Amino acid sequence: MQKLEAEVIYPVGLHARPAARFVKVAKGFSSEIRVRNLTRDGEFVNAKSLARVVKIAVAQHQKVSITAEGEDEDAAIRALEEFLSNTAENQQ
Amino acid sequence: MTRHKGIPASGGIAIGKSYVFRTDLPVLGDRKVDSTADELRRLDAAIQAVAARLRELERGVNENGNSERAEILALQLEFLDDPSLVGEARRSIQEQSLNAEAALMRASDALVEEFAKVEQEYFKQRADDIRDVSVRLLRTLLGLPEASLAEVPPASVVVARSLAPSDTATMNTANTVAICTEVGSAISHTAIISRSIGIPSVVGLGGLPVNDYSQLIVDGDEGVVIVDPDEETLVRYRQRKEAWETRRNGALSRATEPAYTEDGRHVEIVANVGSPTEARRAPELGAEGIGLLRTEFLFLQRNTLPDEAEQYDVYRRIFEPFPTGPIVVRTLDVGGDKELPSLKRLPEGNPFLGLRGIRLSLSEPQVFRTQLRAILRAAVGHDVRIMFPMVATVDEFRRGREQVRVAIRELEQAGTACNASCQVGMMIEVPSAAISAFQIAEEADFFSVGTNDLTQYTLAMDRTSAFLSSQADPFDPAVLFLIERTVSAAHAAGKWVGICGEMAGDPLALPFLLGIGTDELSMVGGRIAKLKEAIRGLAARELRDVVGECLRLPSGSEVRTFLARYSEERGARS
Repeated sequence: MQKLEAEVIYPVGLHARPAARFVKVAKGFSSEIRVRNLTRDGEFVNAKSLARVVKIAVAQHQKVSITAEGEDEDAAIRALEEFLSNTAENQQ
Repeated sequence: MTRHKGIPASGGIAIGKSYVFRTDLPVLGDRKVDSTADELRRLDAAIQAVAARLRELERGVNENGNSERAEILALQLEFLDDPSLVGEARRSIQEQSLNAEAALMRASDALVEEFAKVEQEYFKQRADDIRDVSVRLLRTLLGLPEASLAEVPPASVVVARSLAPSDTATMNTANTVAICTEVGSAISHTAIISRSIGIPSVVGLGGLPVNDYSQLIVDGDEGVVIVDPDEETLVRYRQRKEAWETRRNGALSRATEPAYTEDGRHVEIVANVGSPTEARRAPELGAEGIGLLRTEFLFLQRNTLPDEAEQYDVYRRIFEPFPTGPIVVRTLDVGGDKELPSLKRLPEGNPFLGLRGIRLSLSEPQVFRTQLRAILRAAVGHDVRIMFPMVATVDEFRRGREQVRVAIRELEQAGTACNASCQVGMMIEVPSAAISAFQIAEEADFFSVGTNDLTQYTLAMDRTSAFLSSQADPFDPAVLFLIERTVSAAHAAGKWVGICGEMAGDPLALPFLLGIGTDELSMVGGRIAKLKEAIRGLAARELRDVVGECLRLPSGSEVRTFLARYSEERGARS
């Protein structure tokens, strides 16, 4: 299992377009990927469900914890890490 | 009697019966199905049908308020593929042999209920989208038609959560006296539509406790809605409504007369038009011509490009109501967030700074010249002026103009009649074009300032962003400076200049725009009567000082305050 902790830097938080794109990235991998709102100490939810990802309400500057488990877990974590650190393309 | 405060989106007073635009549904029973495989197929077919419809709507989302609505549609499409919604529904069908309708609504209700616990309002709102998508799916499964506003009874106040372009497109506007929505902003689709019809509207009301046939007072000036008013309130508002109607009708009766300031300065008032229907209505609303014909409607919502003959027919019909008045035709303006199914492009990281407007036309010269030929042919006997969108440099303008020359040559060689003397000008909506306006004005026949895009590109603020739209202010000194520069540049070269953004129809901006010498203002038809009245209440000789003050002030909000005070004092004096 691979893990990642990261701060969400989009002004809207993990919502709207960034959330939809985050879910799209997660869906590109077969591993089971879960995410939780670390700042709120929330529960883990399925990172491939937009409804769940929006529901954990990650605002700007809050931290998320992500786990991936499966064949492509390394690649999945790398892709999500890159996505979350890249504001230029995703914050609009 | 209850009183509810929202955001004023379109001015005026209306009294009417509520017509609640419902998208909820009959109570459904659970049912065991014989074949879970068949039931899963039903669900998948419904998902595909709804996805196709949402994509169609997403494509059709028109110019006004486009990207907010497009974003919501994109989110809804994503919910259609959400394991906790449709995944859960599939599981209930498989494991419990439940019918698709019940399985879907169980999953949807469970999700929506979870959202009730979310404290952050912004995140919480997405529950409404989940519900919208679920209801769309359910209606499809039940074989029900799409909810529609075509059957609104007379004197109705339409009450809805929000209205999508597809809802207002089919709305019975003759019977609708006002629109109230729970969500939305002053720049939302509902607001723009209400203003173009000329009826009051209040948006962002939150929940409004009404059923059908509640009596409602809608005060679009103050952003207030009164449910079940008492007699005294009713009497007071009836008077205000009459006063407003008299004012509006008085303005309407003089709408078709030209507008002069007190001291005789004339400004040409023309309409923004996006369809043959709007073109037909424009003269009676007071338009002296068309200041902006958006041609995108010919290209959207279809999979093939319109050919020259089809475009020619449509342009003829649009030009016909204007035998003498000027008609400014903007060539195809797509790209950005508007993509044509018939013109596939490679994805770009930042489409608003990508291949859009004239750039797209220059990269597709065949498509571009087909449009130009159709315009030039239909222009015979009319004062048609061709305008390029999104020009950033003189080089882009030159290349566009060269295509016009080639199109004329093609027509003349084939012996086809055309108007070869059409003016060729451009929009000023990119800061670089405004900065280079003195050089470009030597070559372009005219300018028209698109204040919406000019504001967003000057301030680098997406005007459809929920976070920035209130700051993306066309009254910002930087934007006013560029507008003033554009007008000076055009006049220095002996060319005319118009304004065709939202700002052109805003009475608050009028003293500034008149003061700098703008020759023409182009706006949605519903605003013309009011704007002409505002012109008649001004004196051109005073406006030089107003302009000076506007350009000196450091912020958009200070400019607005100053102009509001000026209009108030001016109104008190006359």
